[in-house]
Amino acid sequence: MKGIVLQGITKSYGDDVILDNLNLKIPGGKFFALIGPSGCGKTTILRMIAGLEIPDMGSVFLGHQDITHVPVNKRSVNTVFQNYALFPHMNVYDNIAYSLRVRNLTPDTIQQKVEKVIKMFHLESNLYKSVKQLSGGQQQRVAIARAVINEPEVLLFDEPLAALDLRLREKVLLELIELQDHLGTTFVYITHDQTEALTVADQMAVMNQNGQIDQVGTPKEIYENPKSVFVANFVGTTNIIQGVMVQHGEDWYLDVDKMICIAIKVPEGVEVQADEDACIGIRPEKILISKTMLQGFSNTLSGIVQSIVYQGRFTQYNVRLQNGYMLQVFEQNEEHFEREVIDYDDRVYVYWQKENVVLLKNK
Amino acid sequence: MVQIFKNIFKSEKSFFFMAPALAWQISFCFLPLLFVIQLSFCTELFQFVTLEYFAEVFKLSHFLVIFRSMLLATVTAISCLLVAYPVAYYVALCAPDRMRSTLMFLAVLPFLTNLLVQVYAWFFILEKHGVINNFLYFVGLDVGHLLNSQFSMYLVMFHVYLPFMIMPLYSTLEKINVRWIEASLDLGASYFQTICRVVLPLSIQGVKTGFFLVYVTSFGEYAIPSLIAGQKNYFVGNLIAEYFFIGKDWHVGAAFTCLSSCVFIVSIRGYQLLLNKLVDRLQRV
Repeated sequence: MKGIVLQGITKSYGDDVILDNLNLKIPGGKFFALIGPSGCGKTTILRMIAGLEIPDMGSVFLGHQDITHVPVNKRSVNTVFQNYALFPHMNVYDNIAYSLRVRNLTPDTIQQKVEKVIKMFHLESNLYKSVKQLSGGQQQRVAIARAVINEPEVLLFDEPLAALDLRLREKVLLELIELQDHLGTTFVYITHDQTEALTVADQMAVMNQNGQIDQVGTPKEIYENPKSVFVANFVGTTNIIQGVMVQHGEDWYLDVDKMICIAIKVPEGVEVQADEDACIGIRPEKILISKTMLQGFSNTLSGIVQSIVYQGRFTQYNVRLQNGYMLQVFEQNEEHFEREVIDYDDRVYVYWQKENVVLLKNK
Repeated sequence: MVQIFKNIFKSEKSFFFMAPALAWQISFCFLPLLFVIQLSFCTELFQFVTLEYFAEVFKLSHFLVIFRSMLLATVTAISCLLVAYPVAYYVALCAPDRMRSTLMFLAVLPFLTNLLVQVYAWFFILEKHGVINNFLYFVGLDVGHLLNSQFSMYLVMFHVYLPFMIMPLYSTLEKINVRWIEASLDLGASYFQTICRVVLPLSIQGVKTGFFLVYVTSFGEYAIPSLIAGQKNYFVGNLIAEYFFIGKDWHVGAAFTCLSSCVFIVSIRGYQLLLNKLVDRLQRV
């Protein structure tokens, strides 16, 4: 399956520059997710791949073929639109058969292909219903069926789950993964919801508000090793602490307001200098909270519990450190053994390993 | 119709709101119509039924007049449709949001102007020493009189009735989601196929409303043809006016009114079927 390469893409609407010299490589045959906050230009990228927008500068490649100026109806790319954009004057069958009919295929071929797709998406019982009578989940199936029936090289998803409720969303995500496995088509999935992206993607890219791509990688790489403050904040929850780098022998520490000292493991290939301003990120679930003193951790700090938020599978503690920083800590509510009770205003210790601290580019 | 009446009497509230409109409709449309029908059949008020008035209007020349009115209405409706559709499409779906209301205002401006003012404005444009003739003379063409020609009659009819077509078309096209058009293109349809298979079926109500609005109103039109094309062209309107106001032969006039109305209703049904068929056919492009 062919991948997509965006090269030096620039796009502006009037004086508003949406994308400036953007480069992105989307690997073929993979589930690729592009995430970013609303209005960052991710939909514009999608529309360029679909052919609904033409970049002011730069090129779009499908495989090795430059498709920048290929009209939208001649591209082997199909889109599942936000809110699906099903044709309201047609029934389910006509919607699905639409792309075959405009290609003037014989009725027999159309019948065969539509039946195959209908079986795949379990739409048999709704075949002749008007699309307006369908539920959100069913409409979405029709939208996907309509897009895959052409066997496109690339399938684009523009926030396809935005209109579904949470439970259905989780179910559809798993179905999408299965579908991608089954078809092997390149999927490009656009969302502002990081959990969706983490769930489905083989590869993902994070865009910031300025329309630049901050980081590309597997969901695990992005979650565990965010490169910038923006990525760390956007994907998941994280504690970001600012300070000054100090060196004691071989080891590096972050000095925060001359009050706290946090041990850091500087990854190989990264140059740091003493007295340099720096930013670190530490995920709340990688922090242990306890009222008793424990050994074996490279970082130990103490603080006072300010608030406790019960979230079902975990409990969130907000701990005020010596310098006033509010540290978030997640504790799994596994309840295998009886645990110590932590209450408001308790003095607690928080522990974490320096391997879990991520050094961030501060932008 | 029956349904409407049922709805009216279903609740006190709807009756209360509908009553003025209903009273208006009955006293100024149904009752006069009934009166016209009895005029065409009876020599005295609701007495002595006869067919002699109909025998008098069943003449080729009368059918020619009806046919001429139908032709006028058809040409006007089709030419308005062909021009109004792209205009309404552009305003509703392509123009930037902030321009939309201004463009619509400009498009329906003739509608807000008095009919006679419009017609006399056309006099200045079309007359022997008017704008068009001067220009044509300047480039070396001499086409003679533009006034008193079929062409200028259709031109003015087209101009006067255009807003009646644009308004309903705009209101249906405006409801079309641009995503549907994009989805169609994305699925491999050409622009032409997209118009035929998606935009047209979704705006067919507007097309029908606009077409019949123009067709119905221009069928009875006689002011514009007689002012622009001269008195020699007889249309249904002229003939009825003549029977009622000049000849004072109300019975024959009423018979002719009934006859032309019947032909007219049949023609509307015909156009309805034709339009449905056309849209069906276009959807298979």
